[in-house]
Amino acid sequence: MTDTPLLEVRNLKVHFKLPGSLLRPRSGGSVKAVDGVSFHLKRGETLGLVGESGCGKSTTGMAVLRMTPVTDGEIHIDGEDITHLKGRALRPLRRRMQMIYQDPFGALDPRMRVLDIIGEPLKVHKLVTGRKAYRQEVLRLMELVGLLPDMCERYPHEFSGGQRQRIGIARALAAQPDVIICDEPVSALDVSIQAQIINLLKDLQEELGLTYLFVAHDLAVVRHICDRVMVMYLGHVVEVADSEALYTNPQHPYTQALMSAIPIPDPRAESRREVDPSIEGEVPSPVNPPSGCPFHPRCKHATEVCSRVAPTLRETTDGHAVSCHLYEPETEAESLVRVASIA
Amino acid sequence: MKDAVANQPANTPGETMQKDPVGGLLQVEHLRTVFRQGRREVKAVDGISFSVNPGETLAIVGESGSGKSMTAMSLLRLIPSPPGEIIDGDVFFGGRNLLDMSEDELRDVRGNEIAMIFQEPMTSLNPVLTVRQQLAEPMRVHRKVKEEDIEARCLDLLRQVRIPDPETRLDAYPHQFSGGMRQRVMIAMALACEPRLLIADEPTTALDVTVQAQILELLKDLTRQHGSSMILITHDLGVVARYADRINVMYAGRIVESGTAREIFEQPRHPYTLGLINSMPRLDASEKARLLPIEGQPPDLGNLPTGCAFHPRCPFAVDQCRQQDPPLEPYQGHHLKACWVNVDD
Amino acid sequence: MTTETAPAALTTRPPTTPPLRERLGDNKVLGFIGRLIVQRPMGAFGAAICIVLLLTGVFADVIAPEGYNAINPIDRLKPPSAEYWLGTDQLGRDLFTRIVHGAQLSVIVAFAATSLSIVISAVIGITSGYFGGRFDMASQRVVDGWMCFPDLIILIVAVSVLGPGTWQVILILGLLFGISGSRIVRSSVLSVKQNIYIHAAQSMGASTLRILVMHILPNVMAPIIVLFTTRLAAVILAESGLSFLGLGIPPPAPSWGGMLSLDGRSYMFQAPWLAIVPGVALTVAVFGINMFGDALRDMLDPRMKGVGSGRYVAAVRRDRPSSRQSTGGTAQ
Repeated sequence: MTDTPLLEVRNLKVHFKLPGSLLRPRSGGSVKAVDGVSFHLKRGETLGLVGESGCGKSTTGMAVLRMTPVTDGEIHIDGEDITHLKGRALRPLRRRMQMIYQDPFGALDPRMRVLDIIGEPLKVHKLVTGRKAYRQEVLRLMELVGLLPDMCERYPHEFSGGQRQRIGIARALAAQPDVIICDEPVSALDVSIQAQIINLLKDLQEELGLTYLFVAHDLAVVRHICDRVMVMYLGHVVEVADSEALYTNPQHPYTQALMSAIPIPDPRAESRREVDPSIEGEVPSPVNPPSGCPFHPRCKHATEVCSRVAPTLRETTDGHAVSCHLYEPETEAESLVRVASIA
Repeated sequence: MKDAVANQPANTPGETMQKDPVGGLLQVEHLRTVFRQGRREVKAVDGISFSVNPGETLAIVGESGSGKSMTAMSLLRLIPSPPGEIIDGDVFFGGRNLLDMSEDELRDVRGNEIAMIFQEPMTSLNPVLTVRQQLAEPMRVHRKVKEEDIEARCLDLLRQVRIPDPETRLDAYPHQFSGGMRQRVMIAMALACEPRLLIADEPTTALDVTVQAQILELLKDLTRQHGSSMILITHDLGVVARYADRINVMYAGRIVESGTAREIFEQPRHPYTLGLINSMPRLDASEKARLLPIEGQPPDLGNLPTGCAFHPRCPFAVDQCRQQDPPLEPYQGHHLKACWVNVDD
Repeated sequence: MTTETAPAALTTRPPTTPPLRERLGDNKVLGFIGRLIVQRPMGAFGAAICIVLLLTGVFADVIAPEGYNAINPIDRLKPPSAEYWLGTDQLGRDLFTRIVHGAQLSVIVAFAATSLSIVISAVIGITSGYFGGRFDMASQRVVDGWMCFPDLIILIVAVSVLGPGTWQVILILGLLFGISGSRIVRSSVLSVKQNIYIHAAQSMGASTLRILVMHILPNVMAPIIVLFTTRLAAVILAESGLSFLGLGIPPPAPSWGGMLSLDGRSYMFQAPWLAIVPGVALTVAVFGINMFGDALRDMLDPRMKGVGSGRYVAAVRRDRPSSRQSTGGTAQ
């Protein structure tokens, strides 16, 4: 692995303006969907973006793809700043980043044959010449994701959810992208099919050296595929760590609550676990986020400081960073070590 | 279809059924529901029998198309008809057969003795009525609660489902609540008449994980408090492991395995159950552990294979599985399985 | 001769000819026609009417070579007979000839005006719906403004400016129906635009033109086809209406509407066939086009393809278990 990360995001902010009233169009305020998120992604690595609805995980993915306007911050790919690319200059970038969607039913054009769906990136970016080479490449992709070649003339509605997701993955692979953004790629699938797709994604990564940004709400799914995990809450990163460190030693109270909320499919293990019902309430509206630490109204460890001062993301142990006052270092001087560089 | 019903072997009561004449609150026998699309007939629920004891939580687990929701809908005859039709079976509830009742009699049971909670808290509440109006409805209809008592009763219900500040929330409209709060209102409505049986159809699927935990804990506490039974329909094995006493695993309209939560998770005896458990992502897995998926695609209900419906995906399948449909038979005590093969760990 | 060739033709056919259905399934056009007949008999009936109409229009001079304006003062207002199949009008012109040539005129006007209107609807509707924002705002207000005027007023004004004639009618009707139809296209574009596959195409770097042509257009084809067929029928009616009012194609051109109004109305009691014949022709044509259009809309949807026909059914039948032994599950 090289030292320069493949993808680097610095202090990303995505704010959406809300419609105001007719007379005062600017009165609507804005939603801070993503508010100062920094992370990096190495080649061949999988970073999990985890959080509940409204935490900004999908918006972060969209911003990285440059599909949603970036309010502030920088996005670098291979050292190149892509934050302000426009129009035609975006085209090469579109080839380098591809997306796998949550809804296997909506993500495929119902009027197109599988052959045309999977091959579309090839056509758009003129990656192959000639009909024969095109067909050959599509069939190769289909085989790669476990679809039979004679399915290529069919339409999406003739496939089950899992097979459609395979088609979506083949399409994402067609352009040989550097980064694939997976937006909840298995959450709409049945359990038995979920496992097939997770394994497929892992195998493809091994075989082709793919890099994934894996957006998901389910920490259990993320555990099986991600090298590092970033937990988000209301547009902020609350914790980021290597997968193993995060699951064995979750530090942020939100991460802990999130984990205790996920049941384990084993009654014996369940009876040993302490279900922590102390996390009360729901995610507040991002239109009107709480002051200080966004999590403090639901946090059982919250102190007076938490409601006033927003904590910053700090490294506690190697590669493990938390944004919480509980882990504030003793002196201010030490605390100035910004974690953004390692996160 | 008539032939199929007549052919029912090995299912005479007493042979395979441990009928508990006093214990069973709900007794379902040979329930069969089909959907018709032109000449195609889809067996949504294909001759299943089970019972629910007082005070217990029975989970019905299955993937999409397994017939778990259709089972619940059939119990209260809520199947859209046409195209759906309950073509066979009995549903005994407190000694009466729900499938033989008139619409009027049934209406008296629905929402009163058996209440349902649906997946979609957004669409299950009427957007133009306040919470007070919707909560009061079942009380007026079923319990003839006096008008002056209704407010107190409503407030009590909202407190039970732990909605903060119930006095002001009582006159709010559904859109003023968040998803989790709406589901709490749904639960309050379901509990309004203190039902003996609660049917919760994927009650938390649309909610965030932390909210899901809150709602399920609430359901557990409330059913325990009231001593009511619950049928919990879900696809999530984790939820089942945490909240269910007994489990029915369904596949392609059939119950393939039935037993206590411990039995199902620790000694799964049907290859499908085993496959489900192995393919479930786990929070306590070792790092990046590989999942063991069930290969193949879910079955097409209108076109099921011969023999056991699971055999094309089953790693243990033998010739018999391709030809004959296995009956649900006791494996050990009340642990039942529908499989020709003996699956050992 | 014929008795000898027929068996010969039969024997030359390969002995292992697959059943008709499968052969039809292999050829796209034949397969489509086969499915149309099997699944949508009414649509096939409508298609037959459309084809007859089309052929009549194309071969009008062959079918009725006399000339539609051949006056024969001796045989005025003759009822239908062996000589004059549909009778004659007040100038002794053969009504059959005039109907046939009227079909030609109707076909030309209907297809030209409807095609023009569909192109206008699609261009305005797709761009306005897809781009949205200010462009949508501006173009929709223009459409609003246009639609504020009653159609008849626009028609009368346009005819008085451009004068009567075939191409004027085509232009006016095309514009009129095109602009109002853009609303229907736009609203379907708005819903198609929401689909994730559009997002997918954008994020993969597809050009706007590609998205419009490859993704939006095919997915709004259903309403466009419905629009086309309803408009086709409506244009035939509108053209007749214009001619009826004397604003359409001027006599002696044999427009069905003109025939209905000028001759039909004047001689309704002496020679009712003068009104009945063009009336029936109009009704049948409009009915046939509508039936065919409905069938076409359903058949062109890939989701409808294969339902209840062809190889799919064969496969289903093969796999269906002959008798599924049923056993009820029992749980305590």
